[in-house]
Amino acid sequence: LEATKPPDAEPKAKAFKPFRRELKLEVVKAVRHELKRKCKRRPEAYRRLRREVKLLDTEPEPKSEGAKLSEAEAKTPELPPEPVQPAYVPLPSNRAAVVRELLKGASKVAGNINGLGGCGKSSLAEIAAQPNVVPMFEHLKREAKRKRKREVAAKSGPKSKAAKLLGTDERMTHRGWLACIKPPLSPFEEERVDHVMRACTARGVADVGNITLTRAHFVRLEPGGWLSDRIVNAYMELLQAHFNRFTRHKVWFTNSFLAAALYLDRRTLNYGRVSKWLGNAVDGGIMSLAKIIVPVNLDNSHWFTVAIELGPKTITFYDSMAGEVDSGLAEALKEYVALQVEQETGRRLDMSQWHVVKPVGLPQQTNLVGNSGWWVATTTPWG
Amino acid sequence: MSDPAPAPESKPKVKDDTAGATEASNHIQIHVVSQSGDDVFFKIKRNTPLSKLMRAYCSRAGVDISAVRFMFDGSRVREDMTAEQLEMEDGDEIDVMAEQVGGQ
Repeated sequence: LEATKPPDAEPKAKAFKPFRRELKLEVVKAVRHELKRKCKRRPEAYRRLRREVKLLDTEPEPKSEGAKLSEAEAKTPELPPEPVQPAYVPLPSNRAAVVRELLKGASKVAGNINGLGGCGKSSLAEIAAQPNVVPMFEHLKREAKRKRKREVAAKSGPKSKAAKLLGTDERMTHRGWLACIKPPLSPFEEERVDHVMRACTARGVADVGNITLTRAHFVRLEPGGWLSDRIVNAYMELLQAHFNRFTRHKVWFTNSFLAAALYLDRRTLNYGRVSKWLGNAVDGGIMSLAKIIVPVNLDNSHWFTVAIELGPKTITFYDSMAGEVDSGLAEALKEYVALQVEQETGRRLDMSQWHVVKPVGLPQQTNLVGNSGWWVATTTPWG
Repeated sequence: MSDPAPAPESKPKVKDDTAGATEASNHIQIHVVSQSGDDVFFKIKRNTPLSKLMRAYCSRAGVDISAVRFMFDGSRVREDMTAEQLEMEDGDEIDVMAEQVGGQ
């Protein structure tokens, strides 16, 4: 993995795009780790992995602004006052810290990676911590295109493998993807990746918390695939693990079923169904939390995130689709907070002071068929 | 050689003695509530993997097991878990949630 940095002039919105590709890259990395474990006679694979990790560690923070923000947050436990219409702030970059931390030792949440030698725990979690990924893939794609143009112009010389794969169709195949990753996989490694990604359909590739991810789920990360709740919830588990470690004020990442059980399934408030969820997940109860992050699946077609901020008393909809917020859901979430507080303290919150907002300046989907799933993952300022 | 002979004799005895006492408390009733609010209940032993219950529910409801998620108090129930592990009590509810996809 040559950490090919994008030109700095790259527009901000573009920097978020290759997120899912990076995750795929991590799958490959995980497979390589398996190789290391299974065939000790190929130590170079392991060495390469170490080098990659080091590279990631030493990578300069792409956004100093964001880094400063994270430092400031770490120093002051109290929440910074937020305006009613908060401007969009990209997530601070702290991937290096996470990677280091996770490689150190046992991470309970993301442990038990079947057949992957335990390295999957760094892979998914690393992604979780870092949306400002290096758009390496974009870079390679551009290069391959340029190369192909040159070759077509010259009408001679064999095409590179990547150019061949990229040239005919924009849509990437799994194999084409792999061919684009530097350093290219050896045939032996490719065989193994294929084995994991194709052959063992039913076997779990990685266990994240209680969620088993199989090949079928990773395939959803291909460009053009829709995200399933498993991927989203696994991601939430990893974010939870990350934030429990690295942040002072507490954040609860709910699973994607909270909104469904609370309101969306029956379009009426069902507090009884979810009354125990928070108590089970969070030690100190709702009063100890600063934020609740609720991923929402709308009618099996669209993902977005709602952040409930208990300090500034706002419910923020991070939705890539333009339009009004779902007022029913907003009210249900307000009521959820009120009832949860009432259940714990016996006192009723005055919810009239709460605001429902959709921040200005959010990157929006340009078309109806954008990938809102990853959009959700990459643009919500989790902390 | 003579050792194995008395063992089978005493074994059923022990089983008979304890079976009546433990089985009553060992079985718990678990409600499985679907998204539309339908409630089905199952009796299951505390130490039986819940996959048995899941499969029974799915065949009864006519859904594929991979298309639904079983949740207990907000966390996912794995097939190999037992009621004992989850500290379930008699009358507890398991939520069945449909698979969610979306994005494009």
